[in-house]
Amino acid sequence: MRRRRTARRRAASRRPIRARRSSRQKRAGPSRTLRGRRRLRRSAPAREPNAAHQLQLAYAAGRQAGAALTGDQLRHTPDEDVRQQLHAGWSAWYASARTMSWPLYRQAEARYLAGCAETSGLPIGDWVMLPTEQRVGAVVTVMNEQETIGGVLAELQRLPLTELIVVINGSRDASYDIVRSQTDATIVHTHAPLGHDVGRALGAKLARADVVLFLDGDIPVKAEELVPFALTAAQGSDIVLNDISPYVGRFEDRDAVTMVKEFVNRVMGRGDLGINSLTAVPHAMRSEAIARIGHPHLAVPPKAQVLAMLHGLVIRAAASVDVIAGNRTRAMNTGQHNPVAELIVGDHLEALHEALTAQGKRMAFPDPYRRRVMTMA
Amino acid sequence: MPKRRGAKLRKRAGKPSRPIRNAEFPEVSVIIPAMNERRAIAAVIAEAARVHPSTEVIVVANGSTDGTAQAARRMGARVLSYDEALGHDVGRSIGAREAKGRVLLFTDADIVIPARDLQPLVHAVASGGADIALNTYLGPVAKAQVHSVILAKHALNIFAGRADLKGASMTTIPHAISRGARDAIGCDHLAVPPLAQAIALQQGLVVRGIHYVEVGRRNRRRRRGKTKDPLERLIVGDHLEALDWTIDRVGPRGGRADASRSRELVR
Repeated sequence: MRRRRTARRRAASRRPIRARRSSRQKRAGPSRTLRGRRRLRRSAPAREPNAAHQLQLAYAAGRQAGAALTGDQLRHTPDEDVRQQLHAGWSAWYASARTMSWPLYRQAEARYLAGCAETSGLPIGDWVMLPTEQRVGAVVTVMNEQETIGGVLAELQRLPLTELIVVINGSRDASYDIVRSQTDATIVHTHAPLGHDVGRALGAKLARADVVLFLDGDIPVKAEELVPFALTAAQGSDIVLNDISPYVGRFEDRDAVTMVKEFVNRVMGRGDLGINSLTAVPHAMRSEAIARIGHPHLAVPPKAQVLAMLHGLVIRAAASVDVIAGNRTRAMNTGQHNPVAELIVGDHLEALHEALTAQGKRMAFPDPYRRRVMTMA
Repeated sequence: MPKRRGAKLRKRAGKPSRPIRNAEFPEVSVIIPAMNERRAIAAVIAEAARVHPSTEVIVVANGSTDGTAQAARRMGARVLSYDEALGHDVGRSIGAREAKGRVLLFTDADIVIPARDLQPLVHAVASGGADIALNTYLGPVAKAQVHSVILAKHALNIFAGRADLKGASMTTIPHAISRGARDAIGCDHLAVPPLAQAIALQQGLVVRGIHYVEVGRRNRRRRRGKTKDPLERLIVGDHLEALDWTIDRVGPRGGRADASRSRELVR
């Protein structure tokens, strides 16, 4: 039963990310029921003003960018130099364009690349542009991930990333060879396992980009699905979480980890974030946010999240990728008392410890009326 | 819904309950904090007195201006009366301190729970099957977003390593505890029920969900319109206080290892 349901959710995740809501729904605030949220996701993309005109402009910008390529750049296979130039053209066009929905954005991007191909005569392939001039990098953590890491990297290679850092730890399979032969990534390779999420902290320390995407080596994410994370961070959000709330079902059916995630957000005054957490990938962080939190804390993601909240950083769950259906089940991460769940529950208590230390033992939830003195005999 | 509840109360009011007789050396002490609950108090006391042949009923009347204490006295209950309001659950603490029974049953004065729904809780403790016998009612959980109190109850049990309890909580009435559990927890801590629960779990007392008693209709009355429920914030704070205590005792991870993490590698 559960299997079948996840298959359906997976299909839903490929639908447009942002959908227009009726004015009545807007007034009612974000939908609180699952059915309501699914309905929102299903509703047709907006008919946007001047959509056709936008597409024409994108196409013209693409033709112009393609025509601007010269000499060496026009060899048979386009190289990184070409990609960066076309990407610069795209981000410049996007900056001048009106805001648009993601479906329209994707159409415009396709028109832009078609324009590039036409005037340059180059096969543009399956590149995905990023709508920002800021440097965007990625950190991928890998532990015995030879089956999936190739696919993860292939998607990242479709993006014009300025850096790719792969932290390989405790791997006894071909993960390293695959990463090395497929990419020119910066590789951190340790024979011993670093432990859960420590690789992220290490990668974050090495990263130099303005915006860093964090991924796991076992969950391939389509390049197109990473664009909203990068864009939201580029537009100023310090942390962009993956909104997995559409995939978790009713409260009573959830596991312990999901419940404590929601509890921590709720008591931090961020109930709007629901069950979303730095524990889940993919997510994006601005380099300033990493510095503010302190990269060692990223090894305990819920703690990093609470510290970010205590520092007043801007946290949003602005994009949604279904990582639940595809998550590899292992002996370690299934069952009621599995070690990974216990570790993550401990992480959340450790996170609360930070908040309790900073804000007092009841945080923002005072007890002004109890006459506690009366309880002393 | 409130209409139905009112009708039920009126029916009970029309049939005055006979006064009870408190046992001199009771097996069971029923503790009922009450603040302006004259309407239902007689019926609550009558049901409470029937949980066991040897029972005392203690009413902790506080901040009441409607004659709650007098009504309770007329019913034969032992009444501890305070002019000022003591605040949420402080009455439980005071009642527990005065209790003489081997089993302490906690309930509230604003809801009439039939004795047959109280007996399983008392029996679980009296028979030694549990040190703390909880109501397994969880509130509305078949939805995407639950009330913060429900979320907090679940989270506390998970952090205490008792996810199997789900949201069963000493915050919810009715529940019964043994006299030994009372002494292990400390009467003062019973005024902050989630704290009492955290202490009980940490000390290894046997805490079990025993019986389902639907007490949701009562909670609904508290939420008027869309205004923020002040009790919600109080009770969530109680849970934080409980977690703070836990961290104090067993460390920031609640005793959970993360030795597998080489934290020293990233500084």
